[in-house]
Amino acid sequence: MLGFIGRRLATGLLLAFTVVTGMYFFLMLTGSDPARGALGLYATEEQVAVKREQLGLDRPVVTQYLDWLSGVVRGDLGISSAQNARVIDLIVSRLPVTVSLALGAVLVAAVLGVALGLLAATRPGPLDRVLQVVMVLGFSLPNFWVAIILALTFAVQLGWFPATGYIHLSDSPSGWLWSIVLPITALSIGSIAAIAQQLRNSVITVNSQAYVRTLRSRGLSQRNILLAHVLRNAAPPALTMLSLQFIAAMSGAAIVERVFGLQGIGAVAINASGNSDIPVIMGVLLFTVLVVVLVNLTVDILYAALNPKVRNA
Amino acid sequence: MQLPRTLTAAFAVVVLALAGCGAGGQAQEADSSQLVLGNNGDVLTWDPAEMKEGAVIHYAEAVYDPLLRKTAESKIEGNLATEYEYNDDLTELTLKLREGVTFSDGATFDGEAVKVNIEARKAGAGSASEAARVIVRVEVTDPGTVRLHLSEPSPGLLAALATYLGYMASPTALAAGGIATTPVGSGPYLLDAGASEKGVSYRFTAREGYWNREAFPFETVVIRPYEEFTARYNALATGQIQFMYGTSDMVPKAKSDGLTVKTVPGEWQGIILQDRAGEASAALGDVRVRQAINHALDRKAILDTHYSGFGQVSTQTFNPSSEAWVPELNERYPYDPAKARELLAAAGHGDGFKIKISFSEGFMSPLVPIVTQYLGDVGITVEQVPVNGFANGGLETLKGQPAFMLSFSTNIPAWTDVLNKLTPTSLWNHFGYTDETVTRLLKEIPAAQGDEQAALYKELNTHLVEQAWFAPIVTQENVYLSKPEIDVTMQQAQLMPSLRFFAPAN
Repeated sequence: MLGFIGRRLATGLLLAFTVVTGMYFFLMLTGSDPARGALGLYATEEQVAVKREQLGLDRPVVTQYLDWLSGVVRGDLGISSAQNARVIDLIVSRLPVTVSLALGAVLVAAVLGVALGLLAATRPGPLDRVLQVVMVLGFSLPNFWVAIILALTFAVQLGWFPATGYIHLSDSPSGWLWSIVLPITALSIGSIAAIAQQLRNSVITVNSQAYVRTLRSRGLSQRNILLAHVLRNAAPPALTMLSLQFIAAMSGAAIVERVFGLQGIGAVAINASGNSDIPVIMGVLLFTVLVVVLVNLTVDILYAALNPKVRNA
Repeated sequence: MQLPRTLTAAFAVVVLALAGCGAGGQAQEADSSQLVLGNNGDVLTWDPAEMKEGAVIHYAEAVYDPLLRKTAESKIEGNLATEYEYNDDLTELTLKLREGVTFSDGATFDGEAVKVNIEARKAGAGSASEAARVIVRVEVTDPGTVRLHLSEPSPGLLAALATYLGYMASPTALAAGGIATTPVGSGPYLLDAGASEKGVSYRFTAREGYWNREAFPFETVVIRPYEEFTARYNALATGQIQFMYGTSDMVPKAKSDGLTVKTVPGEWQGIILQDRAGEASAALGDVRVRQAINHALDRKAILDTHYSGFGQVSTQTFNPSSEAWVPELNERYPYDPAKARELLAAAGHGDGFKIKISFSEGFMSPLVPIVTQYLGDVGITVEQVPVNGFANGGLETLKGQPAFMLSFSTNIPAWTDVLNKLTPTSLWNHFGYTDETVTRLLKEIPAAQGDEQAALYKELNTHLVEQAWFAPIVTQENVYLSKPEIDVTMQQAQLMPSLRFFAPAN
């Protein structure tokens, strides 16, 4: 198992290295000007040149890249070119918002998606058809639109939840929960539908296999067969879907954060893009890629736990 | 089935742990002694030398006091400098300084502090640096008097001293080098760092002993940045903030939600026909073609449909309250496609021609197809050239383009607009174009004052409209929304009204 994890980890890190390296050179060679972005339109060319020198942008791109990479290895993501702040501090200070939303959305999606998927798979007929329609509807609603509607309805009109802002858990646990309910709902609706649909189809497929009929013929209860045997074999595709939904929630959070006035990683990334703040953009990118690698690794480990044959793949 | 339960528990633990990483909060609710402002964006630096024009002025005004200040009509009056006076040829400005003022770190406000601040502004890259360039020397004649020696008369200098050029930071803090992250000023409030969270909420508390306390009646001011209009509006509608800069399409909803709506003439929007010598687009070198473009636009229809009536049709690029404004000029180019075709034919373009019009993608994008259609109706084929944001290379792309569309601020005094768009070195005059009349007037205006100067501004404006340097469409109304519990006095030619124009409604 350790060898399996090691191989997967090495593959993931190689992927992360490739992506961030490609993005670094893409950003540096496509006209972005962090010096101009930091100083603004009214800075003279002389001032921009001085700033460029201060930021080390007058050096060869490869040299800059190697410096950045060595900093990353030491845990130093550099200094924002547009703000007087360390990139790592900017990211860490915004992590609670984005992680609360993404993990919360996936948790909600996992629980409700599995429940609805099992319900649809085991109740063929009208209920399944209704759930299918609901799932398609859930797929088709863009999360920013859902976010706007939720904010208008439950915050502005009804006043049940705060319209904007994030309250830290340490300040008020109930306030924290209240501040993330609507964003999480907006983020998770599509994921619930995706997981439910995936699980429904998998369960129906597995349910029709011969070994399930054999189990039934031996007199095992339907509940036992479903939970102990069918779900175990139907879970991998749903797990894959869950990991994809986590990644989607990370990116979707960038939009939903804006609708609810939340200052998460997405807000950092969007503001950094407007200022050509390459150190921050790269920091956010690195963080995101590592999250993707970590999530994929976790899913691989879960696969391996569910199916030992996977460990030899 | 143990695994899912374990996973669920793990998720919960991680969520709880990560959610606890942050610090601070933003749960202050508004009361009568507190003003809560929604801002268009975050403050990226507290150094006045690096600050850019715009909504960031509220952050700056909370902690810094300017040497001069603007009235609601944007007239200049004394502030930290109680008196100001030019010499006869307008190349020396003498400032008498208020006595007994200190910075929040205990440093004394005096002539040396003014000198240090202005020299820092000259070296910076913020909005103040442009106006500071004419200051060649700061002479401290005595602790209470400063004389600014100018390379040439500068009509925009007083207004600049009422904002970023004039914001006074502690000379001790400037010398220490930490002003970008920790503001130390002589202003009406102190930043409460412990109750603030970067990018989320900034809380300012009234500074004891401030010399002009009655002008700032709130005990605390909270500023919350919201980049997204929808979020900002929802925050206002639910009482999380009390004031915001809005958009015209929010007005009906705002009125039905019981919010106060105020407007003030703001930016002009339209086309800068910057290739007036016809270097990149030969056709634009002919004034008749530029005039034809102006005749081709149905400004009234665009105002009513695209801007929902929030603005006024305009052929001018100055502020309606400025000394340069000439109301009659707005009649110069009535919508007249036949006249436009006639002018094009006279210029040898009876069969039409192609022109590239650039624009920075975003809020101008919906206006571009409208302009494209109107120009197409008279035979001018527009090739739309979207460019990146200015920090992402867009500015460089614009420099080679014959025409572009943007939204431009209008200012009082009008000299700020002159510096922005009309001199051969202006940022928005990429081809460096000028002519004899403009060259003459740009020399005469700074050397004049009062009515004589106003007449020259009007002459300049009339010439620009006649020569069709631009094809403005409207001067739009900036929209401001507030809760009924506060009073806000609108301020001409400033994106955000100064903090001292906010007061409790009672």
